[in-house]
Amino acid sequence: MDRGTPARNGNPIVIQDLTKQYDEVTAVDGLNLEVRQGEMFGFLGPNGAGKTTTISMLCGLLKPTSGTAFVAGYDVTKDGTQMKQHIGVCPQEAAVFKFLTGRENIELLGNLHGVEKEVLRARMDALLAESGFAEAAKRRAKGYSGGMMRQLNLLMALISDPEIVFLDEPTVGMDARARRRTWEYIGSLKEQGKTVLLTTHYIEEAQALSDRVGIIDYGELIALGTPVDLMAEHGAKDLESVFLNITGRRIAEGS
Amino acid sequence: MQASKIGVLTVVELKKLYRDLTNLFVMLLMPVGLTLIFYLALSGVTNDYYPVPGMNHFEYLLPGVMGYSVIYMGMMVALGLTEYRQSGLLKRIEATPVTPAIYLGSQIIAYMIIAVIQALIVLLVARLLGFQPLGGLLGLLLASLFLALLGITAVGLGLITAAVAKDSSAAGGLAVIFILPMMMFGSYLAVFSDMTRNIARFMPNFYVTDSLSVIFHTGGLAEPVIWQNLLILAAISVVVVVAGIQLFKRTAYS
Repeated sequence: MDRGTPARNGNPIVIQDLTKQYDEVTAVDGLNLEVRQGEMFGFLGPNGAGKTTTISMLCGLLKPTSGTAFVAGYDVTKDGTQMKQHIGVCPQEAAVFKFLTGRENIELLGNLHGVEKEVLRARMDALLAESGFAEAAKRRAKGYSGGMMRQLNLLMALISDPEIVFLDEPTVGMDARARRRTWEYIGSLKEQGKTVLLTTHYIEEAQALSDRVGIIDYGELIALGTPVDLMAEHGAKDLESVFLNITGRRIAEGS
Repeated sequence: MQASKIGVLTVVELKKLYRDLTNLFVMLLMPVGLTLIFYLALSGVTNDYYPVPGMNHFEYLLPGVMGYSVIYMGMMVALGLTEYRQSGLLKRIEATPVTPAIYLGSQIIAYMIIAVIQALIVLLVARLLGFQPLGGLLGLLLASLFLALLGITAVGLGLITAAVAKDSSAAGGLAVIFILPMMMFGSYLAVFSDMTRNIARFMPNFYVTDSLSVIFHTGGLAEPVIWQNLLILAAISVVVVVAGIQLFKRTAYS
């Protein structure tokens, strides 16, 4: 597959001094980060920390106030259309067309990414079989539960077989069983060699799945490392304790 | 490749219209019901100033009813787009290689098709009720061109409404602001006095009502007023739809 500037340190996501300002509020503040090829990167932070704003800028949905980012070698501010050929996005909202069936929703996303008809059909059959969603996909999404909408949301992001996947709270609203199955499924993306940037409020999910974790708060990256390194650094028994320790301390400092 | 994406998105929009019962009701039953109501209320009323001897008030107002059925598309576009924005679907589409121009182009095509179908349903029902339109096939095609241009204008107004409205319920209320004067002046009141006719000239559907009246009532396809109206309507549709696209692009994904 063609790329913009393959050299960008060889990393599929490179963020340089990325800032997003809304009037008086700085949602993302001079963010610098690189996500490595084939890495599962957990991007954590409290509500309103700047996670979704960052993902929106990386996907070409929001223009940065300053700084830049390269995704699949493309400058997201200049080569958005080419960059989007290489990414799959699972948004925070269950963004599905309710009047279409699950299959039609997935097929639509494949078509919008320009996937060939035959390839699309084969890929969709495989995707539905792997995810256990084949039967549900025959029905219109209007009758789906919240968890099923979420599953469909994820499958729509993957039908183009993207090299880079952005998963913004992919399991929110799922029951425990569906969430576990989806975690396993997300874990399998790594085996397929995909680079995944995952945001989640389930810290145990991030700990189990992520190669590295970045914690963002007030728009700034305040911790970066493997879950094991971060736990060792903070003398914590799990990643949740690290998270609460770091973000809690900042709240206390700010008050 | 981009053309096929417009096709795919147009089909999705058409599916939304015929799979949703409310949409289907507005799309099919509204023009039928509107025509029947006008027929029952006005088919017995005649007047000397009508261009064709023996014409009744229902037949006289029919071109206005056809235009009116198209204007409603603006509200459907506004409601649909605000709903897509609220549910995150616009962002989802924006995160694919599809440009906003392709997406909005598919909206224009889908609603233009529906607009023409709706107006032709009005004509078909009127025909079944005894109305004899003049102008032949060429007249019908020319009328369809006017209706398509009005459909584009309605989509433009829908885009402007969706850009301004925060949610779909606000969009419904705002859409009435442009629908009401168009309905009153552009469709029905223009005939009553010079004042109402002058006000009606600011309504895009007036040019449809005026031209369709000439086409269907007199069959005079070569009348200069038709071509003059066509030019004015084309200009209005371009201005409104371009303004709508620009405004909507600015607000849709934020």
